[in-house]
Amino acid sequence: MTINALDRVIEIIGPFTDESYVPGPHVKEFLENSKVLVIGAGGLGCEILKNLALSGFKDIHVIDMDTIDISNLNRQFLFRAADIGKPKATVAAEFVSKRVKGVKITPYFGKIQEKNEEYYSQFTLVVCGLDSVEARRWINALLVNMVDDENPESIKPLIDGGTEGFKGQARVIIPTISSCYECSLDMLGKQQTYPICTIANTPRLPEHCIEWASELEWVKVFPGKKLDKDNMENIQWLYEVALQRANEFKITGVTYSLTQGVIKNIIPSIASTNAVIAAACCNEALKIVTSVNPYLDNYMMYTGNEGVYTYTFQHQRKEKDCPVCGKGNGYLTVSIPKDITLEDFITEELMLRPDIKVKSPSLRTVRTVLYFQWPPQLKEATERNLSKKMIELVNEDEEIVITDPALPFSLRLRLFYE
Amino acid sequence: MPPSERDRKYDRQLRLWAGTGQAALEASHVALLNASATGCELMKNLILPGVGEFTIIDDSLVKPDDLKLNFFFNDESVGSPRSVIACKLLGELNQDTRGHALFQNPEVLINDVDFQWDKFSVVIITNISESSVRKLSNILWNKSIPLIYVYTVGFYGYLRVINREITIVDTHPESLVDLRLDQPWPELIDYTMSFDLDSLPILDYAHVPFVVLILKFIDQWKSAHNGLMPGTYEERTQFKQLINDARKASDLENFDEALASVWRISQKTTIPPDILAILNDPSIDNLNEESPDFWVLVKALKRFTEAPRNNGLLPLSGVLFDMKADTNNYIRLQTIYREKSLADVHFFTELLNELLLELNRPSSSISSEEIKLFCKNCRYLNVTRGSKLDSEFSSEGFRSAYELAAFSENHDPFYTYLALRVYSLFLDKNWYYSENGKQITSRDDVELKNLFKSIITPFPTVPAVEKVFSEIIRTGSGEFHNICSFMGGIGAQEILKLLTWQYIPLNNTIIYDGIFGTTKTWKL
Repeated sequence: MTINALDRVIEIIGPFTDESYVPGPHVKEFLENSKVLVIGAGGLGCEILKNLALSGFKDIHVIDMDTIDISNLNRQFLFRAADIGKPKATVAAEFVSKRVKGVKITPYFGKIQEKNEEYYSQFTLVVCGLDSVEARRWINALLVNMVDDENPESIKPLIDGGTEGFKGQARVIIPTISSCYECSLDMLGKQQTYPICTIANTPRLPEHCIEWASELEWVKVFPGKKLDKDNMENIQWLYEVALQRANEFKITGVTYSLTQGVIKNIIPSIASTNAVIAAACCNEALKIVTSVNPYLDNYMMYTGNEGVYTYTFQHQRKEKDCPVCGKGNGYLTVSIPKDITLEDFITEELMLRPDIKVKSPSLRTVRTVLYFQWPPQLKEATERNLSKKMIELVNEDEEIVITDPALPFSLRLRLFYE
Repeated sequence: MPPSERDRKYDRQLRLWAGTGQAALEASHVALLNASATGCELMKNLILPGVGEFTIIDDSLVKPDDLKLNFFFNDESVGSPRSVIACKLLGELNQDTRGHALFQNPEVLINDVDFQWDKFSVVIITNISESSVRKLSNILWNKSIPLIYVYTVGFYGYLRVINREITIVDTHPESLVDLRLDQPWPELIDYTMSFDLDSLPILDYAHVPFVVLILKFIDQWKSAHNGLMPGTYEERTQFKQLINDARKASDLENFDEALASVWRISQKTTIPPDILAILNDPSIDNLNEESPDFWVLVKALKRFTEAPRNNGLLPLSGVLFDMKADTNNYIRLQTIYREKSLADVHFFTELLNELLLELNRPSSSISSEEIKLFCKNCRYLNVTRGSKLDSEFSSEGFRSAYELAAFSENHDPFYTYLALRVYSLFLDKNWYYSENGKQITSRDDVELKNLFKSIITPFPTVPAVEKVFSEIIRTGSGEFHNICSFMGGIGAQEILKLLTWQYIPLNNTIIYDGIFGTTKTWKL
């Protein structure tokens, strides 16, 4: 016998429900009338769409810019071999609306950045199943910016899930009220990179040889040709070049699979972890919209490789210092060596630090423009600063403002010369 | 060579359990008793990665209510056998998996003495009366077939792995590096001594691997301290000072690495306690021809550590992490570690062959790949022994968890576990699992409390347990898809570990509290 718990719980107050909870049929009405947005139709996204549809949501939208690849089929269960090459959002939406009657799923095949505030303001909440830090930062900043203190409906809860192998996390972000995605960026590790001098002069690991092939040899042999990371012939070429270099230096371990992994920064991914994290996220979505029980406050970490272990805790807001949700004139303080150049400051600090991590930043102070990527005239005019020392360009009491086309906000920071 | 289509399909998981794990998974056959939402979600997560075969055992027909909870039934399937529909819709997920539907009552099957359970690698049982689960768990226990028992109610989920024993070599620890800075062997010492730091030009000096630096400074320290290593915190601080004083320039990464690794020398290389326990396990006392390879390998490992030449040490993993160095010196150092590891494997193989001979087994009956993997991972072996479901409430783990819960200031998850278990026994007693079974109501509250008292004697219910009872009653024996899916994820993950013989399995009980977003595990 199958009994769906939803119809029961909306009628009765439970021992853990909030005091303000008013049971009744209006709860289900509200659930069915609410519009929810799913960002990502991949490993988590497929699960999320299924879960929301079976949780009683009737109006679901989904955005994804990717098309289906053969390597998705080990976990993205709404796709079949015949779907390879088709947009994920469209295929996933069609599958779930066909399977679960009475649920409308509206797909959008494209980037989240193509949609504006007006679009996002139609939703009651957003559930994210992404593998990109950049996209998460973007949607987080947008939702925080959309909050109008006078209008509680402008607060759109963001439920964010992420997985990596047997590990993952699920969290609830109530913009401007609880810790936001930007507040927790420093929890990510510093990105693994290999110094160019090691790659060029003293390779030790198979990864060094692969980077040599992709960063140095490719440009030399195919000047002006962009490396296509999804093209198997390109990967095969890199693999052969890397292998040759490895043999020359007696380094072992270069394989096709490792080459592909390093070049595409592949993260292992399995159905079971995605199921756990997506379910945790959608359980929160249901509780937030119906109030039948309290929702997660605000972070659950999951580790499944050694038994099963979860750690649930309240991640603290960076009240002042968060560049996105901070209330004060918050800024980050970055310690740098006295002799660092602007160029090294950009490539070794701004591009690598987990709490900054910009791809093509432009920098200015109140006094002057340090470096601008655009327009071309300004880029040309400021390029000569790159070789100058930071200490000659900026004082410790000056604020640097950093903008990046990938971020819908600017970052402010101050320097501390070691 | 570019990967095959199959390897491309499974790429994201092969990076976790490799070809050996995949082959083991593909050779497995998993049975599901009851095509419940939880059961189907769990099967989905096994079929996608490519389990070889699955069998769904269920004798009921798809009802409209099933569609609200289970994704693997569709509109057209109402009135058809659940086993057949679930088998078809789940089977679509992977062409390489073979599915079977058995239109039969699971409880009747459990009572059928002629039924062949041996063809299954793992059995999953969900939403079936507790007495049937107990019966099945005893049958499978005797056959050493793992059973996964899982159910959900409202925002709660319960799962238990009932498995006699699993021994795992490939546990995937964070790192396999074993530097042995406190016990260098002759080749490593010779290599270290070949460096004359004072005469090196600064560029070469900056590329001396930190392992060499540390060993050199240990040597220097020892000659000034009667041959003793820096032992106390104070001595290690002085040792750091020694390293720091020697550096010729401030920006030397290899010296930074040496300083950051001083803590390693304070940890004497020994056999970890977990591994010592495995070496002293009674399983190796009476080995015979039929004994599992794992225990034969463990006995050889014990002889290895007892051999005078090995100084009580385990075989070396031979794994080195990256460090600041030029290519030649790094590769040379890596080769020294690898060669020592190979020498250990070689000696281990000799001991193993002697042992195999004693057991009347041919010397090649354990492959060299298996031996290498065993030696490489021998610091991180895992033996997980489960217990029977029948001993749950009398187990040591149960008693201590109960006592601990009384001290807990907040709602202790153990109370949630107790309530969930009493609920299941209540359903069993009251025949709620029939075709037109009734729902639990507030009138059942007293019965739940009484049952609690009779099972968990001599303890009466506490308010924390009563709270969970009232939440359960509130949901009227109903389920949420999200909770089913969460538990299906956990169940599949644990089965993947049992089937691939990799990673460390759950031992043995977990509950998920979907109200507070927490899980907790116990060994019961």
